[in-house]
Amino acid sequence: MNDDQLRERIRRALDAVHRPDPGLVRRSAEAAVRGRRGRRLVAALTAVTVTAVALAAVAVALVRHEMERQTGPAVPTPSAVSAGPVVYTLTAANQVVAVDRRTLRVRWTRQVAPPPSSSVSAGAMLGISADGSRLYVLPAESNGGGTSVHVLDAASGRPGAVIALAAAGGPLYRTFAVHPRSGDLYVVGQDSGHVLVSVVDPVRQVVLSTSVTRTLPSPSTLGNRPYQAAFTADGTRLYYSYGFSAAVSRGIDWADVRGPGVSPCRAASPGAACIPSSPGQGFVIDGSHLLFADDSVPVQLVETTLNGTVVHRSSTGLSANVRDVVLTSGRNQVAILASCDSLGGLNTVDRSTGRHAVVVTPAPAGSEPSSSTLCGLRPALLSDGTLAISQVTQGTPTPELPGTLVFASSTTGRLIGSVTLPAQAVDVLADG
Amino acid sequence: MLHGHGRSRARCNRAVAWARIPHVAVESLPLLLVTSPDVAAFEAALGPLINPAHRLATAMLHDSAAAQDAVQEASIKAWRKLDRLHPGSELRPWFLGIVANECRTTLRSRWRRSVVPLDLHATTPGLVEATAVANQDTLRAMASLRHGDRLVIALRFYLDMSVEEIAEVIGATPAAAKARLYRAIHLLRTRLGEPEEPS
Repeated sequence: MNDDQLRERIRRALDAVHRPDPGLVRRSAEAAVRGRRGRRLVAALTAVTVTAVALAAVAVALVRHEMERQTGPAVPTPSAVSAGPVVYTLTAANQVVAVDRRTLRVRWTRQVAPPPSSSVSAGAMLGISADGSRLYVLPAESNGGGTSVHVLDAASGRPGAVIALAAAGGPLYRTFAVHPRSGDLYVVGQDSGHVLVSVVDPVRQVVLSTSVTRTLPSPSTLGNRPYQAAFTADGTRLYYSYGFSAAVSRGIDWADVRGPGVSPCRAASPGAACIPSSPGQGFVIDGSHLLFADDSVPVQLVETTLNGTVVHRSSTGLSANVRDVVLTSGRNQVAILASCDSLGGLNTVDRSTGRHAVVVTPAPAGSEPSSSTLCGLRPALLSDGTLAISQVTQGTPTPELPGTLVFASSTTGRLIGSVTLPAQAVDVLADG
Repeated sequence: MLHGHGRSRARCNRAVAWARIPHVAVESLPLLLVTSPDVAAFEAALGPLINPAHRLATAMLHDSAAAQDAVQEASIKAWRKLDRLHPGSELRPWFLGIVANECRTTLRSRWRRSVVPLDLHATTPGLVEATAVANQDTLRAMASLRHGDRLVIALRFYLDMSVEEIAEVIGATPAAAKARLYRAIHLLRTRLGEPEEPS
């Protein structure tokens, strides 16, 4: 085969593939010009953005300078220099400890109130403002709860306002939620025979209203823990769980937001919760559904509508006491944190199939849990899928014993690290 | 110095052209792009080269649609770099070099590698079976060559370029281009199962 024959063979083969396109010139021209224009647009937007950021930085510096001129410079603790995700914990001794997620070092510690006179059951007693600048704390005076909300600067732990909710001898408050739009705090408490919701404006530092949301059949039936409160995404409805294992009334109630007050749900029978569950611990709101782990034997994962109609109930096969639940970042699984003393550990349950998987099993029954045992009370799921868990060996944290904050993968249970706390933690909160 | 002035003038001319464009609604943007002086300038400068570039890209990729994409991408890059072209430089080998590089980038992508075998079978409808088999053998033999070898084969036998022009496209001396072409032809003949032509 000479060169001409080779040329002919190549040409024939390629012509069979080649499809001449008369419009290609115009399309290429348009693509080239548009590409140039796109680059110019990007350059212009970049210039505008850089200018805006620079101006904002100058404005912040001027404001900060003016504030420091009036009030003196803020002095952060040395460990607060590095900026990163922060996990806040409230200990049973009423200390707030801020832990840097990246370095696993304590950034600051603040004693917000005197230690209570007794051990304190866990619950949602920490909250953060929408902009992440203010930390709200509800310290317990006893296992019954507290009477004031403390405001801290989230970055430095510097104490701010203390907002009194009730006078001595009045109701005790155990949990609260931050309204997603107004920023008001809806604090859930109890007195003898009643469950109450107080609305607090943390900026003006005033209690806007207090509503009785449930009257109990007898003063002794509530037990001692409203445990968790949370809003729906649009902020129109507040859910809160309460109850005690021996109580008649236990489960989850809701209250619709009405101006400065709330309008409570009506239960099917007097004394019962609107969404009965046992014993009224952690729950998750996911869009129009509510999820919680009913602490029966075996544990059941229950999914209801926002009005409490059960849409899915699956048996997990788990026989331990449930401490709390977290919706994983993929929203298709619920991580269940169960007690150490009955082989609970960290478990996951698939929402659609109910399939239960043990991620980490704690120490065998009767053995003391080790430092790497994933069991505890309150979990917080970080954006990278890490769980921060307040680890305890018993159900009720004590102010006298040091505690541990454990970081572990929510999917594999792999221990990432731990931080020693001055006392056992009753709540954990991750920023953002 | 002259080169710098020329580049500034080119930018200035384009800036003037852009400055002539009035504020228009977003809806009329496509029409504006078609009628703007930049499009006309592109068509005047690179338009005659698009079809040879498409042929080259087809020879490199063995896929006409992928070749169109490569040519469009190369056009964007060439238009951005047009200011850097030295005065007196030949536009054709410069642009074809950009197209060849774009084809190499395309071939390196996993997506491209995964679809090449399918195209070999899909591009021969209606042909006599023996011819189709021969074409596939030819394409397969070309596809087995390294990028540089396939490039000189395509330039020589599909675009009918001289050794000097090939040398400009691949950025080599004519002697080096001739040596590479000789080696590529030898390899291709071997892959085609043909005995080497006596020199």
